[in-house]
Amino acid sequence: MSRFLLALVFGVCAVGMGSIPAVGQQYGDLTATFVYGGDPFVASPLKITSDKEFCDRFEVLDETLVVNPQNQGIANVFVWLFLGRGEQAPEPHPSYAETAEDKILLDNLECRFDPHALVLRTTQTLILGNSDAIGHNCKIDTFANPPINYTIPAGGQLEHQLKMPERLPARVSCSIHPWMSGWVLVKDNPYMAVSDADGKLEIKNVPVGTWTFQVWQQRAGYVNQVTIDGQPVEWVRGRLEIEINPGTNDVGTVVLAPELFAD
Amino acid sequence: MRKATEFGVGLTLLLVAGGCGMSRYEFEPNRVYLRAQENITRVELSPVQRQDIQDILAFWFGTPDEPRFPALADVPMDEILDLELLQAAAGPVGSEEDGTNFGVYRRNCAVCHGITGDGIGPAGAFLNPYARDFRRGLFKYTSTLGPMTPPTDQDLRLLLERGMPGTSMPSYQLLADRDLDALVQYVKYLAIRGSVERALIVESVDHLRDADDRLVDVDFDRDSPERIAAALAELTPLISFLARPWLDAPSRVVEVPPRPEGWDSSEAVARGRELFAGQVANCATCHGDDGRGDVDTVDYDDWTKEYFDPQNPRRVHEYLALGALKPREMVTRNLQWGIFRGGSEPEDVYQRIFHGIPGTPMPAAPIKDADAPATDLRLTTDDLWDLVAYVLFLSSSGDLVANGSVASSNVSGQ
Repeated sequence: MSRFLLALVFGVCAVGMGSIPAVGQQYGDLTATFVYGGDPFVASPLKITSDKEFCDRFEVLDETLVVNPQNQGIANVFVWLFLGRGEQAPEPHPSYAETAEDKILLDNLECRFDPHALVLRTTQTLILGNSDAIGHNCKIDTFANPPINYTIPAGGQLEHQLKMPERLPARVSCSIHPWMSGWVLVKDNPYMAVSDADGKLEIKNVPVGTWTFQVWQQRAGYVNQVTIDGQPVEWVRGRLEIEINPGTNDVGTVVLAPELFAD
Repeated sequence: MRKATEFGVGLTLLLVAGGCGMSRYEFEPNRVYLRAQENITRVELSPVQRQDIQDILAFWFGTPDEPRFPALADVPMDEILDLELLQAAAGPVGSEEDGTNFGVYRRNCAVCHGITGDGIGPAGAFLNPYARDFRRGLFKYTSTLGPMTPPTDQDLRLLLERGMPGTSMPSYQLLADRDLDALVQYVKYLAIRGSVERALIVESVDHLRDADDRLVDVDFDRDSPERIAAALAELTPLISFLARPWLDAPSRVVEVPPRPEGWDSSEAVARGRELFAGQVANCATCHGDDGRGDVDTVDYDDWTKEYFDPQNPRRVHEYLALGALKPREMVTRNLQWGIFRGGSEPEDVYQRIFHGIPGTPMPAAPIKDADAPATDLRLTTDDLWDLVAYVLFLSSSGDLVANGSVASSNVSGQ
């Protein structure tokens, strides 16, 4: 938030950042796979406290840590381009124009938020949906944007725009069903992603050069201690510096120890 | 070294305070929010980094005895805060011969809301509900659109005059006009100061590179005010961002549409009853069909959820040790009691349904334009008035509704 403001107010231009795409600008993709380093992790079911007759038919699991039993992949790890004080995001690759005004669905489905974690650009529109046969509401505790709390009728949809970039993923909850939770990361640039069910993520078309990305998981906070290729690596404040070259730039298989998720 | 200095300064202050009648009141750092942010990010600030936050705040906002606020290039702070009234509200309690009072906040408010406005005054822990912590700048009962839009001066003033039925907040109707205005100013001041502190915490946790990096490279004890002000200039957009909504609040007031004709007729009550139980307004899910609020829901307000995760309750102890109040489960309002904290006029109830209650699970009603197609599932403002009619009907004849006799005879709707 304040980064954005500082840049806006003072017109601070990032030193050494290509904020205007130069002719012949080259791009590369960032990829990473996050895996759980402990014994197979089984999520526990959450306690359904209201609308039991509808919600009890689904198995609603604790999603604070989601590990794939097949390959230990960790879903819902957020990675975004980190900008220091006064730095501006680079001009996005032209391919991002196509999705700049997309509508991104955050559904209430089977008494949980679907998806559990998503990324949203300030130019995109969030659709708050409700595919369930009961009423839900959707409360998003944003920091830079006005927080919202809308009721969403069964089968209904609402559109909402979050116009300011957020520093961290914002928590989504449903007041009627307090076990429900989700996360939305809002940025004013497209260089962010969230890991899929196999723990994989990809951020495409990053301008070549050295960039810092920030890695965050809801239970671990900034992911600061990891193991890559058997070597312990420290990412201070979840910050991972990487040189992006044309082609694929793989961070590798990043192993997160169970201690990171300890209470 | 910084610790030693702190101790030294503290000791000197104590001695001076004892010697010349100065009060020892100080603003408390927001340790709970800092810890919560440290836990979310797994970053720990160094003692110097923590002290910087307090020094910056003191430079900009002064002390409980001498409040001030910085002049900003882009937001006219003196249109938001009135320094003279702030000074009347601040400082030790006293009055002059002509009846002009000083220390109005400390006399009337601090025992519950605390010197810092953190809701942890000496009596704070014993109240139910707890006294409001002003430091988020978030208020429940406002006339302005959007949960992050602050209340207007008039909203705060009304609250002071009316008090809040069903809570420990009394009516201050008997205070002098000027004192009430001074309190409104001081609450705004504490709210802005508190939210700037939170922003500085976030700024530190998010953007400092390592334990030696600092928000601002100055020596608060030795550098000239001019040099400090110049060094802090790059952080003032934080204040602008947080203060501007207070300036804009009056333009964000949502006028309540006039009561439609027959707004409280039995037909309106019957329609309201239907909406209340229906899937769109969805009131009954928490309040129950008869509004008694005895549905089994477990939830907490946003002030609490900042340090308390209901899914992980044991974690709360580290926050309690830092002064946080023991989490209290939210109680869904029993509408049959007819006690409405934000006021019981139909217009007040309308506002609660329209805006929701910021900081609580009570959501805003989904509203559509009068000419929206029938397929649009949201509510019209007339629907809201029907809900108001039903809610007020519940409290006027709640027992009858509860046992069904009125519901089935008088309010059948046809």
